Amino acid sequence: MVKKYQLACIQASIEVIDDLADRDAVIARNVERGLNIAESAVVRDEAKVIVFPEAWLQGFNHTRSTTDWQNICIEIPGPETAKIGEFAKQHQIYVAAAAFERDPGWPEVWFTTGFIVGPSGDVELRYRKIHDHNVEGLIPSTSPADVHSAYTKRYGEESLFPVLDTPYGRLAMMIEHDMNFFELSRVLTFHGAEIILHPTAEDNGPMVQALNQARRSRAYENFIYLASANAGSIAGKYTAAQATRGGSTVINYLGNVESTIEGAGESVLLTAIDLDRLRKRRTEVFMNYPAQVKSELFGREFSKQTFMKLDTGSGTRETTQDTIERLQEEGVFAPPQ
Amino acid sequence: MIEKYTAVAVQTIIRHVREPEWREAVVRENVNRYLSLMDYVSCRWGQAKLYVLPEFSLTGVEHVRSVEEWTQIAIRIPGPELEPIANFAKHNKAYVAGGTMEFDPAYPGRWFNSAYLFGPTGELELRYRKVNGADVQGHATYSTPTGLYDLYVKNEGGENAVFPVVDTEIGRLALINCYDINFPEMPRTFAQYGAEILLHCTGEPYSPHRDSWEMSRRTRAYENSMYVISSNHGGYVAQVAGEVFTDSPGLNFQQRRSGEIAPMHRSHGGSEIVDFNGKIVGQAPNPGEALAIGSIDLKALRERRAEVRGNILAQSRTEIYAKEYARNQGTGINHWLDKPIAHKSEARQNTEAVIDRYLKDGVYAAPEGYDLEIDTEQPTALT
Repeated sequence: MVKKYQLACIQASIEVIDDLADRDAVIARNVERGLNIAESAVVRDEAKVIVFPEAWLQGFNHTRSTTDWQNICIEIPGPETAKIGEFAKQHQIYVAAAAFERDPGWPEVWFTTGFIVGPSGDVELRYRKIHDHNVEGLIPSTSPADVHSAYTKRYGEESLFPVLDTPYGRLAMMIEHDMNFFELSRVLTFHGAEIILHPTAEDNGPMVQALNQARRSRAYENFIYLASANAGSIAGKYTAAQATRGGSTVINYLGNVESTIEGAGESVLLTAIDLDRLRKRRTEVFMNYPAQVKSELFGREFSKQTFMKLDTGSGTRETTQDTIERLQEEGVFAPPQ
Repeated sequence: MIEKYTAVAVQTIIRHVREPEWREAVVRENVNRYLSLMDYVSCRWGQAKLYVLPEFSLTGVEHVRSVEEWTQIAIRIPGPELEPIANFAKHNKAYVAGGTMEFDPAYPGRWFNSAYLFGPTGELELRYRKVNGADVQGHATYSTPTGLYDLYVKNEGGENAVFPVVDTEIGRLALINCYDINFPEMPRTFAQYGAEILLHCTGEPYSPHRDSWEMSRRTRAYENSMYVISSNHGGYVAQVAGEVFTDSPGLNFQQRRSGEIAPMHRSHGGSEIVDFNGKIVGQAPNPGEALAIGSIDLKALRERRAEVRGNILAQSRTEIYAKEYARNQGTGINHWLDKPIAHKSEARQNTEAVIDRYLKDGVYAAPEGYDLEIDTEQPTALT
């Protein structure tokens, strides 16, 4: 175990794939630029774990057709992650990022997927986003929860919440909207996570303050480090380059902001991770939330009520709409007059 | 349904029952003062529909007191001590909630850290007993419903008795106490049972955790699209009938803890009303007697919950997580079914056991040089 080391959030500028013909060139440019700006953090400051934003390779374009979304997807592992793997291997570091992914054995669906490439140069962890905006109609992706039975039959339940044990702590991932769901970071903690790497995509808007609070809560509730990397700028035909709020942040295991980038723009955030202190805190009785949570009780309670169901089929806006209507019928939500 | 109304977190200075024989006088003095503060709201701000008082605000708190003495000092819900509060609710056609130490003769040898809610009929609408804290933390001897779960759910008519919610004209209300707010699972479970407005009777001291508690209530409100009303202590004194005990030589630990030489403002105050987007709509930022007054917009909350975008509550995939929680069994239930907690330090063994199991199972990784067989941690000063 390395007791203390540097972690870097790479607040990368992202070029969007607007035209399918440019797919490979855009991905190559995004990867090259991202790794270039990470280089000094790795070589000069000896960062051992680095995190990139969500959609770093491909960018968001809301006008993409369903077919185009399929076609911009990469495979994980695949040639793109191999390129990142060369960098990881050369510098003997861990590189985390998230991308839109197709599964060669399952052509009907695609996922928003987090991955960690390790010093071996290989993909050592693959996490598929549970809470995607597909259920709000913003993206035609699929979540493992949407196809839960088929997914767990194929990959096993343990594939849902992966944790990677490394000399730099036990690494796990959440992607963007996932952070809003406390159950996920709690369950990752149950699986041993100490540092959650959080590629994100957050725009300026009324909920920025709530997101900042929620990030801190996730770290505090679980005694985890939470490293959120957001895009610095997003250049595309339909995107306002600085719509992204930037604000990449590392929260420590006490829920305090360890370091943060104020606002948008291409940037790099270096933060010292004190793994030994985190582990010491976890051995203390006083207010030890992950140990004191009455999980047996909540296991029972959570099994009684279903908010959004599993196996809905690939999520759409109707998935949330139907859930709200059902909750209103069941009396969980009081309908507005 | 009343679409929009005023709610108040009534941040009070709490007089502490140090000696059992002070009980009647101190409780009466507390209640009288709180009624005055609530009356002040109506003359200064117009009528409020909902008032929330802090945790253990009738008797104060004393962690080193024996269980037997607590069962004598703790009050009954409902009971004669709460009658003036029930009458206030009736007279003002309002809802009044608060926290108090409670004794229930159905559970001899035990006491609870509870909260109550009286409605405009003057009847008791809700009684909640704190779920998180003493039974695992080792800082007090009160019982929790989960500590005697099997007996409790049998006596109280089912598992949902642990999470009571009442449907009223001012929304669906639920109560929680203090430390409960740190567990996101608590408000989420209340949300399952329909809660829209969470009344958080709390007792938060100045500590390095202050920031985190504030963050917790705001995050709970945001992630559950619910109002959270946190009413904290404004201060703490041990006195009776105007007499302040300042004669410190020979004070024992109990007396020192109880406010005679402690700073009056050792609570940080900071009572707050947080809306369903996690934004503060009422705040008393400092200690001392104060009122956090805010507007509750029930119609807007219900409209928010009907929206698709960012509807975190509706979008929770509960089933996946239910299984994982059941599998983890972090802290169990029924720890104190056969034998109530007799001494406060007993309970910390429960957390120690889970930490040890986590270290063995690999949920936690041991820090360098940590010996699983030797527990070196010193007890920490607690509230």
